[in-house]
Amino acid sequence: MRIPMGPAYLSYAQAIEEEIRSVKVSNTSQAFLHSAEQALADIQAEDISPIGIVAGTAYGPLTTYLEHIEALFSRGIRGLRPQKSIHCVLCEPACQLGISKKIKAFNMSFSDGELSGFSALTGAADALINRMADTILVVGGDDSGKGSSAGAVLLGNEVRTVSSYLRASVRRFAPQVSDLPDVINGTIHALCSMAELSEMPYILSGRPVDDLPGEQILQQKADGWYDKSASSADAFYGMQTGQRLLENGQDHVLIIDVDACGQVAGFIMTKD
Amino acid sequence: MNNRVVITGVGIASVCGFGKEDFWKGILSGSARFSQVNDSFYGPDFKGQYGMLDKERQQKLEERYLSDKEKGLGPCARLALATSLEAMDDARVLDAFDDVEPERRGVSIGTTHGEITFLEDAVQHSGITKVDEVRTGFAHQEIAASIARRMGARGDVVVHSDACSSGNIAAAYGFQMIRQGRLDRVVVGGVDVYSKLTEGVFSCIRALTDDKVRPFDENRSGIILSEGAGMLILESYETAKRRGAHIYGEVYGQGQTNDAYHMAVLDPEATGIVGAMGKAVQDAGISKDEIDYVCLHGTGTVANDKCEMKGLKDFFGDRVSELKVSSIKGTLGHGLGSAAALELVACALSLDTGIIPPNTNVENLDSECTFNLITEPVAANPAMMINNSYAFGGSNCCVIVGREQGES
Repeated sequence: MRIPMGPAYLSYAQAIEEEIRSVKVSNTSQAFLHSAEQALADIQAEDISPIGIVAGTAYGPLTTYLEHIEALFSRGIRGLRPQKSIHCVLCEPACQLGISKKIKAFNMSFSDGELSGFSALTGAADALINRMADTILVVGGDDSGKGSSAGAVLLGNEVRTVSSYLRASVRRFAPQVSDLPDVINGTIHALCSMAELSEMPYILSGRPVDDLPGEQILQQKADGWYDKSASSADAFYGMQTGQRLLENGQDHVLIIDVDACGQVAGFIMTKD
Repeated sequence: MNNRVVITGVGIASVCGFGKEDFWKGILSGSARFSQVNDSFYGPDFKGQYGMLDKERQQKLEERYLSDKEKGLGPCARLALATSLEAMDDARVLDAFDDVEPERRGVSIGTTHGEITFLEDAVQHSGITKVDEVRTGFAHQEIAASIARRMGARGDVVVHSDACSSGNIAAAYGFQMIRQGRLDRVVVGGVDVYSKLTEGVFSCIRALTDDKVRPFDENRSGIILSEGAGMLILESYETAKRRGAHIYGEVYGQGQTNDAYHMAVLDPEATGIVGAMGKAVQDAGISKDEIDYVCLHGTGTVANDKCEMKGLKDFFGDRVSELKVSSIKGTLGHGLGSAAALELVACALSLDTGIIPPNTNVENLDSECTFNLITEPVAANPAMMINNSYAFGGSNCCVIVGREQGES
């Protein structure tokens, strides 16, 4: 696997109080759009309709969901507005992005908790392998209540400024907590094998926040950290840090994280 | 690497039956259960219906398969797990996964709203409306993770959310992971449970009918939402053959497009539908002339069915009049994330039995309907079929399944 990657972008969207009732799309959808627009600025093709979208979101349009549930229970169906209530669907951020940018190859969303961004990246690599499109926009993000953060990156043949290459992407699962050491080692081994690396790359992981068993294991393996936001944008924080490390002399960076559910996910980026 | 992928087990919880025998009997006879929904919070004028699962049967299913700890999972995860275990039982791999390495076992489940009941309960019963107080509970990865734990899976364990196409996209992804040689056995499917918000939203946009669901009838007037879960065991042909598994059918290909048109309306030109079918046929390496049955999305709304009729006519051309097609939503209602998965299960059972399931409740066929709509069960022995799904937000996915071709 050697997939050209554009630079990773991050953005933050927060509807101001007086806008919340009038803006139809969710905060997360706006954050998706802002980060995606930056990534899409770097595409060679004039017509972007043949590209695909692979998204990751743990909570979708969470504020929108809550607002509508509250309205339903307080005012009944009359409290819902048709043009806004149709945004109450978990995949809304990716759908709204597709509609806004007229992206038509395909559009799929993963909802794998805080590792949804990692999951989307693997899904995008699979989509390229399966020739679902030549170029894919990968996005991921979530709502924190005060606003939403999201990240985006372009993968594939139409990337104009190739800042790195995706050489491997792997998801694994630990059925039991006791399986975690094996599964984390297995994930790192599988990534290195897929990337055909004979030496251990620089390992970058999300800075531990919950002291999870998996995070404790990663503390012993990681060479560096990126700050996590406990959202599907985390993979893109990792990607940005990884791209900086590559610019500063690292040849290969392996980015890996775990969640409380037993998911382990990672990818390897290289300079060439 | 292009491994062949076959279906070896099914598990079902639906409004027309639990388990494959009752489900198939219900689909062929058109019998299902829908309940009036009249909770006062919807408002004084509201008259809705919902396809609720038989709670006694559901409890029996959960008693049979779930541990005490698993019974504490969210409603979506519980239903997905119980039906997945039933599918494993049907495939004769329940607690017997050792023939496949843990790293080559996976899960790929689709859902439209996942554990939305948690949000609804938090607001309705605890008055919680703050995001940071509900984030942890509104988590969907457990829907797939709980299944993975029971099968000792260490491979890819994912939840897809693509509205009404979720079940098909989850199955398509499971198919791809086996085909490309990464996994050998994957539990795929879709699930959704009763959601007060969803009922409210569909009522608000006037998509619900107070009649029966009548796909492709001149007088169709909308949908009835329903609960359900449909799970399938996909595995590599070699793995299935090695253990002498019963093979319902083979998965040949998949195609996806995005309408990029509107959150709640299909592109009336049907280019997304036509494109997804075209990609599926190409991916499967077959000619569209080989398809002898189409399992339609057929929701029973005026606009969606009209669009689907145009899509089929545009794609199949003159051959459309010979094409046997049906939507089983007249019987099942619209199961959202479970819909396409239950339809894929119906395709598997159709391949297994040779019977095409009927499109029920048609009294006056829509005059624009140019295909051969099957309204009674027909023993036609279909060999190659396509399962179509189109979603809120524009994701279209078609999956091609057919009779297993034997050694080749």
